[in-house]
Amino acid sequence: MTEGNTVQLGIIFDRANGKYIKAASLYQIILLFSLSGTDHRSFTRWKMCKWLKENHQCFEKRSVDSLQPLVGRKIEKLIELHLVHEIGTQPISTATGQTSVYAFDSTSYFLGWLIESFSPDPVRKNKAIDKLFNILQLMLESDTPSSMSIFLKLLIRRMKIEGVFTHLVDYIIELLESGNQIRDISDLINQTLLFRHPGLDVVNKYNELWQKTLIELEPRMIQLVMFRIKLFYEQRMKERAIHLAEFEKVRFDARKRFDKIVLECGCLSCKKCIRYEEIDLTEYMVRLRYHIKGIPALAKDCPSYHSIGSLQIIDL
Amino acid sequence: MATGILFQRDRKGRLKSHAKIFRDILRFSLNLEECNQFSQKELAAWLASNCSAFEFNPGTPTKTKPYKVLREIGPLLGPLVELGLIYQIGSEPEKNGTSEFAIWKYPVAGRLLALIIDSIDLEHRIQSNHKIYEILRLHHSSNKSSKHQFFLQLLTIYHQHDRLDDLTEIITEALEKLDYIPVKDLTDIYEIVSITHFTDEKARVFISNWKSALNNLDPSTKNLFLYDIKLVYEELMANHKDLGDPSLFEGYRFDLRGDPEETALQARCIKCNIVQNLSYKTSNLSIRSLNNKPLDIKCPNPKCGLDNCLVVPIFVNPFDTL
Repeated sequence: MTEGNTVQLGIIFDRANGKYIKAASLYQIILLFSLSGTDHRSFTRWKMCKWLKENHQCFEKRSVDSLQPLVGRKIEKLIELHLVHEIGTQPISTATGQTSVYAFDSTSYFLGWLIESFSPDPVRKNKAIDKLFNILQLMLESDTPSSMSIFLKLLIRRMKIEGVFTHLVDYIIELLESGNQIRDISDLINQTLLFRHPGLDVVNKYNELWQKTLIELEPRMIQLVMFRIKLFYEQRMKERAIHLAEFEKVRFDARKRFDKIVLECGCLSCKKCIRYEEIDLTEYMVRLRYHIKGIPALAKDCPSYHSIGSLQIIDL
Repeated sequence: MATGILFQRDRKGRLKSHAKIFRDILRFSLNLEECNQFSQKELAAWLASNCSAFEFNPGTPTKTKPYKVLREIGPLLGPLVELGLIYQIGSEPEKNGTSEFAIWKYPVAGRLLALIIDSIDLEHRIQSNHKIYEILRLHHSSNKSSKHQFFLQLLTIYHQHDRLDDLTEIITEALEKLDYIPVKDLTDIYEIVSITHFTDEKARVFISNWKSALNNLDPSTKNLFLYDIKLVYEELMANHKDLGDPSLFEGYRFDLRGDPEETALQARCIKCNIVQNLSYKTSNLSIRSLNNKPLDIKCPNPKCGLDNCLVVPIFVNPFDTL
């Protein structure tokens, strides 16, 4: 059955043949508008179209009026994504009636700086990286933060100091371009838990920072962070489980063990044997980060056929 | 994108023309054999004769009407694709022409929704309800997860009590009201009912049947089903933008993780604003109507002490995340 989709952040980074599709490019330009000065904090469709015409070659031959329906449709989608909201109306200066006034949400600045970080100019790129770091730190700030927010905030700060944060930014872009379902910014931040990188040094450094940050937390806080990650992975597993009934039984039995996750394993020897196993959460996460496409994240022995290492664990 | 697009009405309460077209695009599936594919041209020809939303100038030749419809339906298929109610499987070249026509298919969810819409028509109701029952029964019988076992029980109870009418009416009402859930799986049909506010006699029957279905499950399946519900609601709570104290909540949730019967929630007093964790019977969660009614609990703040004053954010708007 075809899955239904709500509008996802991925539409802003939709690619075909190695390039962003036209619609994605337009979303990106609109989001860059949010960074182009304090007077753009609120805007009308007309103001946005005028800016597009004056600043982007591809629109310079079009009239402001002819751009309005196209830009209007994009703004509607950005409203659905909670990146833009309507804050009121104002009279139309050249005619009678009212026009909507919009404002960007904080997430749109994050995405705007993410797009700005594509810049080949190192000064602009570094400025964008710094801005992204500050926005993330602010997003994770709260009077009563959860353990996960405290952990991620510390981890990201360490990554910035150690020069690994740029790789996290690249990974966030990769996530957005991957076509994976990403509902909103909190979902995106959660998915950074899946960080992986082809470079051995980068992963080693990341693992080291992860471990260092985790063990500095109080024991209870470590349990809460692990439990949150367990739930995150098991939810992903549930959405992909081939035998849901089997999965939920094993998941139920493992519900109290915060440091274990239940994952699907398939036997390469018999091809048919699908099992659900409790896996050590930390080991799984560390292995995944090194994971290279085509090579299994983790292998175990198949109990049915007694084949050594033939039971391969799903890569979530 | 949500199923509400099939129910949009104008100020006078009349169905909007695009809602009529969406409905008729789905209803076309009822004229096809199960799993049959069709071309966009065939769909357009059928709509030209059967959909009242298309208006033609007097004297428009019958032959040209489908082409006019064909031009208009293109953009309308996108929302139905997004909802998982129709999908494209390919295209075929036009006979004696240069253009191509898309080839489409309806997934089971599309056919089911077509039948639900068809059941609004009193003349078709009995026949449609019977088909809805058969589709859902087959769907749940072929899946062994606790959720499917539960919904099979629920469906069977409605069928045995000869109240399928009620069930389809409640589903229709839920589909019409919700503006944030896409139908991506048949089981969503029930889930949207269980989290929708409805208060009349049909709701009373639904709640009673829900409880009976739960009690009909064997203890281990019941635990699995309740645990699944618990996880869903606790996750909604943890990500809710109005969660008063995330650090207080996560610890409470962690401590309750072993008990499928109890779900961790957090409430706020509407008078003194104090935030309090509380456990709620999981079996009552799904049947609680979302009417923003404060919980029947006294405020723990001794200086406040107001009765019935605790509001749980996910009971107000469950999907309001950060």
